[in-house]
Amino acid sequence: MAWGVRMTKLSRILWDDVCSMVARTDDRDLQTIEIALLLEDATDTIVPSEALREAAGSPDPASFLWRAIGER
Amino acid sequence: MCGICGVKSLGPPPDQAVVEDMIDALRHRGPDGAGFYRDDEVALGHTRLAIIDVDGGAQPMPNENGDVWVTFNGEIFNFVELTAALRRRGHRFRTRSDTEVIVHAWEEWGFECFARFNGQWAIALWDRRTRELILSRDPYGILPLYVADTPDGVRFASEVKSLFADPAVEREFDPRGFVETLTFWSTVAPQTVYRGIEQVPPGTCMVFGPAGRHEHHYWRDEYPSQPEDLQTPVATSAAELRESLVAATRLRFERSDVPVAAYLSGGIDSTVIAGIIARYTDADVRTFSLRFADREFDEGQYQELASSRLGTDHTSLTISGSDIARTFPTVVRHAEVPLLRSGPAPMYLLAQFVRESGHRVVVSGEGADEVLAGYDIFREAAVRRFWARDPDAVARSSAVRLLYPWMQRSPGLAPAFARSFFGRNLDAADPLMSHRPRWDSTSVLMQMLDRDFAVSADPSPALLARMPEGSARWHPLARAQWLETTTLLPGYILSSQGDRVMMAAAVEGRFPFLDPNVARIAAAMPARHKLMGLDEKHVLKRAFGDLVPREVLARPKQPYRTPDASSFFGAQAPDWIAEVLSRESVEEVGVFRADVADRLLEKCRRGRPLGNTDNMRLIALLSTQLIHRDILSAGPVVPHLTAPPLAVQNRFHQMDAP
Repeated sequence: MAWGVRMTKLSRILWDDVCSMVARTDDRDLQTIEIALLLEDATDTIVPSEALREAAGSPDPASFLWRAIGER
Repeated sequence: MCGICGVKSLGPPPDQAVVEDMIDALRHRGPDGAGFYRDDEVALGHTRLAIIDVDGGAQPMPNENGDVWVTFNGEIFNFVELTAALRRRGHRFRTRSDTEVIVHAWEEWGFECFARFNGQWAIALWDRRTRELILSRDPYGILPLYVADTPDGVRFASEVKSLFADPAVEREFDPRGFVETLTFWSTVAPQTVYRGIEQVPPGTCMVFGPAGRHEHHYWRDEYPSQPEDLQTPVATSAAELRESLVAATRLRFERSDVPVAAYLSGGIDSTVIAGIIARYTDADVRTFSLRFADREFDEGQYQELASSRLGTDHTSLTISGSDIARTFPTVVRHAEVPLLRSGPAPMYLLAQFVRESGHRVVVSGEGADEVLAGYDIFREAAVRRFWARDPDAVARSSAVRLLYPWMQRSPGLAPAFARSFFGRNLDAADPLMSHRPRWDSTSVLMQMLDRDFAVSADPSPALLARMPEGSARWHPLARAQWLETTTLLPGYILSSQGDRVMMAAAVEGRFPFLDPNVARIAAAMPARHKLMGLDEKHVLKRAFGDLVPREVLARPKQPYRTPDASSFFGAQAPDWIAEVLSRESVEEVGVFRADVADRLLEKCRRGRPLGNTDNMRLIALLSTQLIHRDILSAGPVVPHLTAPPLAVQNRFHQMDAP
């Protein structure tokens, strides 16, 4: 199944999970790793490592990774 | 719980004196009474710790007409419901014990009965109609059951020392058992460290009858085979978990005719269990915990916080290194296996303390880390899987710094070492990937083995071959959970650190997280609900956030750790250390190389702190030497250290076959 289809149908539940990760810590490095790990495992998709670096440097790693993985 | 033993002879009738010796070797497990049944072919023995139907539950016990007999160690917690169902089908009961349910359930449902039991057990059923002896063990191996299958018949017992009471059973180490122990931390059933002795695997029946021997498997952990379920919110899983765990805890707390206490470690799991009892029953909750004189290992502040918040009547026992050294020979004699950690010794002292405080049953949080993915090894595997997707990416390899924050030399403080250690064997296609670092670092101990013992190769391919069909489609977390529940849980956590040290003090442990309904719900839920990112047991925290103090919920996972090598050396070193570690003794036992033992001993005597591997080396060496001295080389019946003699006049009720 294409990832875009999954995002449309299932995004709310997975996004809730991502939000619970964000609530755990203010550390953006940690947020980046945990959210990437969660999204990769849940969707069997790989976030480009380059995007991981950028996410950690962004003010909102969760949204950054969500978009990055959604575009794949 | 109790002790069971018996013989099925292929020749003359079982020798009554031998069966009595076998029973005698188990009297610490059942100080409240003993009994045996004997006919021309089979003898069944029993020592009793009376918990349910104290007056009427003596064993071995028959069905209505005496053609099915049982000797049973454990509890069938849903015996009330099963009794009602069996009565409706015409079965007549003479007692109100869970034991009697077993014989009727066997008559009614055959092998299917074991899947209907909600409990923990080691059962021997003798069906005179078919002349079959059925040995059954509970799904997770909470209770032990050993077998010696020889050309003249089969013997079984709750502990190896009971088998050794029969002079026909050889007392010899099996090198294959050592290779497994020095890889997986324990043997994997049916393997043991003794030649010719097997364990009944958890979730399995071994059957010995006129047609020979076969196995029947009645339980398997079922993990989802389809891709991760993205439609179920974690709140749904949390609600299901809560309902099932409350029911499981109440069942284990309320189905007893003697008072039940709880262990409270200061972690989430035991706090949840004590919290359920406090919230959902009318009982006053009695809790017990271990504290350590060495602050590095002590969790007292969290225990006190939890007990005061839950309003339990709490008592703790403080342990020092010298307590561990003092009791270690007793603990090894009960554990009957080489140990790699001193952890069982404090658990033994705690069980003794509970017994002296007037309790004989405790519930605890054991099993939560396996069924809900609480251990660090699951976090470690997730990070390594994350890294394996692009091994050259620094953004991925740097994640190892998040692992093992409690370690003195944690990956966060030694990142280069951590990357080199965790970066080996980064093969996401390897079904055993989660456990490779642990096994690799443990199997270094095999270099200590004497040439005669270093006989077999890496045991992991054999374990891989036993992974269930279809497990390749499981989520990687599920495969890691299967490995953990197949190796460490029955072989060490529930045995050396569970049944053996608890029953040494005649205390029964009950484990709500290993209830079959809880375990099924946990296995079936999406993997991320258990390990959300790197948040272990996420669903448990969501399910019981109202019962567990916020400080306990938020604290980083702290594994149960105890002082190892430091306990055995220094001014208070016990005399037996020099005796069992002398060059002559190590050479006589012949398991480990004497030159390696000498060097290790020298290092310990110099008083420098040992690293993780040397700590394991020392404990493995000490425990193996003690097993040889106190079990393999002991007299005809391995002597007791803990159990008072039973009053002779009440000792046996004999039931000879009509």
